[in-house]
Amino acid sequence: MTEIAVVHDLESLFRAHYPRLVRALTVVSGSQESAADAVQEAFVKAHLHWRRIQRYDDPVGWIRRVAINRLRDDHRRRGRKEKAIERLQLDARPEAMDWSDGTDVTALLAELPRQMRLAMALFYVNGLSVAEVAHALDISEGAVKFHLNRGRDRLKTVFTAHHPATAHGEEAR
Amino acid sequence: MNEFHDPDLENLLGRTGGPFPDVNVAFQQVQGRVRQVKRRRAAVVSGAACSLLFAAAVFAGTRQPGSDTVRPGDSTGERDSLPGSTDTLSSSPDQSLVPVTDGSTNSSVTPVSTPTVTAPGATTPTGSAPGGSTPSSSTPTSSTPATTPTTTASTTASTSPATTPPAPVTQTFSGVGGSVTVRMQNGTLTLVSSSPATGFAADVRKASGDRVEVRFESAAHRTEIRIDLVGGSMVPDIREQAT
Repeated sequence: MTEIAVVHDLESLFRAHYPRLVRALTVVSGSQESAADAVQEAFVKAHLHWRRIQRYDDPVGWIRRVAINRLRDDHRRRGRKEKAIERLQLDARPEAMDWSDGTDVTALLAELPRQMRLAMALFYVNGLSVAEVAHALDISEGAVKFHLNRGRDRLKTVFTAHHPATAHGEEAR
Repeated sequence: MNEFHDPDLENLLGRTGGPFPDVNVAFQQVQGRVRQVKRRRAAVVSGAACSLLFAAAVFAGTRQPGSDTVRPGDSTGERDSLPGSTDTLSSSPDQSLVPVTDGSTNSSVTPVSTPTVTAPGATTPTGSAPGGSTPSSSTPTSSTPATTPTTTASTTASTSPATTPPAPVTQTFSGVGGSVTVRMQNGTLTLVSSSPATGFAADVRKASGDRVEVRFESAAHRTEIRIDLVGGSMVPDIREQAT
């Protein structure tokens, strides 16, 4: 396979999956920059090993898992850094996102465990099926369903506490 | 999966995901990163190759000068220490290469080596020449037969253990006063035989090493044949001069 063919294959994959995956991982990490970095890193690895990866049943699944692992590593690294800052009694500045309605959604999501956030992000933002989420996170489909159920309930509870009117409106609908 | 379908949640999380990233820019960034990684890999590979070559060169460098100790057939040191007189010839190692007894024993040996004995015979008390004259002294590339008999066999046998030597090359160089057969092996020259013409006496000045030098002298003429090992090949320098 020539380099041009590799680039062509990867470009079509990239265009189809990159935006959604970046947005899903942004939900998890709270930073689009780090999410984009993780996804790009995964595509770089895919490019370098494309001859092998293209033979996989699900090359995109491989890319997704590499990106998620990279994000986890980033989180771990960032966690250590924040702990170090705390130890130095400096102000830790967690990344926060305020959207147009003033809701600090990141703060809401931060209340969920990371695995749950990942499952929800991949399901609701990336649009993956339960089986695909299970494959991406290397957990069972039952575990994914559990995370989705619990995550949805907890998020709705928190969201309702912040926006009772919206919640009531939704319930009325 | 309908069970978990929730447009509100999708909307809420979708907003958290932020705006859609620019795919074109992102793809260019990916391409740039791929190029960067490939450059880095190439640099590592070329660096490794360079260091390997360097190591090989160093290894070869350390092997070359030590050839005197490795190759059994090489007696350059001894030769150099000896004066280039006729006495030297009688005790020289190249004499051992020459099948002294072959004149009587085997006919398979080419005459190249036979007249060699005549040379010392003419000048030294080693013995009279069995062949007398040297008719076919310039027989070319009779290397292996010339070296195979009797004592020569021991030299080839002892040479073989030294680091898988390349195939030896044997060449004969002729002048007015006689001819010289030289073998090149393991980056060393060795005098196989020297055959003086009638009326000439051979004087082996240097029988092995990076140079082989033989002088043929008669009452009126002197031929000096010198073969140097230059860049892995034999370069002859044949000088004729009237005395």
